[in-house]
Amino acid sequence: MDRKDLIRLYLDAETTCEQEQELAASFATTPPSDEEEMTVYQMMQAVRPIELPELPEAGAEYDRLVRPSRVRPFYTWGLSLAGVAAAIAAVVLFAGKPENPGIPVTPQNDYTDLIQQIAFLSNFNPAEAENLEFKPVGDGFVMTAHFPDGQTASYILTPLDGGKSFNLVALNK
Amino acid sequence: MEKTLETELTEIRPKVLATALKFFRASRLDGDPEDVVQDVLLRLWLTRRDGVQIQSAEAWAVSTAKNSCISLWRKKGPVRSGVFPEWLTDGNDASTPIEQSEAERMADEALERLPAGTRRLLQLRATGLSLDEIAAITGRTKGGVKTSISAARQELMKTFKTK
Repeated sequence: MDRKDLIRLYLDAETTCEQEQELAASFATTPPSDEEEMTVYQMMQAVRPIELPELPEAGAEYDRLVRPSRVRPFYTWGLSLAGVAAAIAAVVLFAGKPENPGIPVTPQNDYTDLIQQIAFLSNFNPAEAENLEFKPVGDGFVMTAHFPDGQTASYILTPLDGGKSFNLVALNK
Repeated sequence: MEKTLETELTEIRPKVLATALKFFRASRLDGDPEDVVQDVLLRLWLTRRDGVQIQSAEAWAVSTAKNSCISLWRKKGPVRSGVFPEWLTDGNDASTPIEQSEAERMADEALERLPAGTRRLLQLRATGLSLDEIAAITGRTKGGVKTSISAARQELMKTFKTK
């Protein structure tokens, strides 16, 4: 195949890698003979192969940034708490409402706060926290999650049914 | 039956992307995890081309993805923009003085005007990858890769001719 044919195929991206190497090699031995050949030659010169820099051995650093090991033991615990809260919310929302049809909304049965708590919990990811603190308060605990950006989120856990389950309330974030 | 390299790259791609995504989320690194994926898959391709034996390509790729993420992190840090992965600029630091002819400078300018993704396709091709392999690395279809490369070459031809 002569160079003109190769150039036509090259411009249509129909050439194989070997044909493109052949075309490049032909310019090394025979200079471009017209404007089209010169343009293709310049283009081939301009598009250089990618050279990748050496990478550091940094698996441990990756793991430290992605999954702080000290938080790991609390991950399952945190998710369990969120699950408990969601279950309580579900009971209140779905079991409580049908028994009181037509009752006007009052501060006592307004579920806005509860929905906000669920929204807080859905954003709560203990894996992102640098650490979690538990402080006993009365019968329950205040749990504070400290995040790497300096933010904190606090939750109050109060025991229900003599400690068989817990009520989890988001205080702030 | 032995897997082709492009099949291997396609199978590994989601694992590498997940590794990169996890890091970008956790570290709030500014940029595109897809850059890490393409960097890692290209490294795997180059390693295979050089005949280096890899026991588990998937484990190798995930480990390389972690290293690539940290490399980016060290260069960029969290939430900053305007810095591209070194491999996207051919490893040339913009501050490195390079003596160029006028024709080379104009050619580089014409190349710079192409969208980054298209430029990357041309560079991958110039590195010696087949259309199938480029498709596997970039997550695009072979037809899409071919069309983009052809259109970019035609565009560069027009640009070069008018200079």
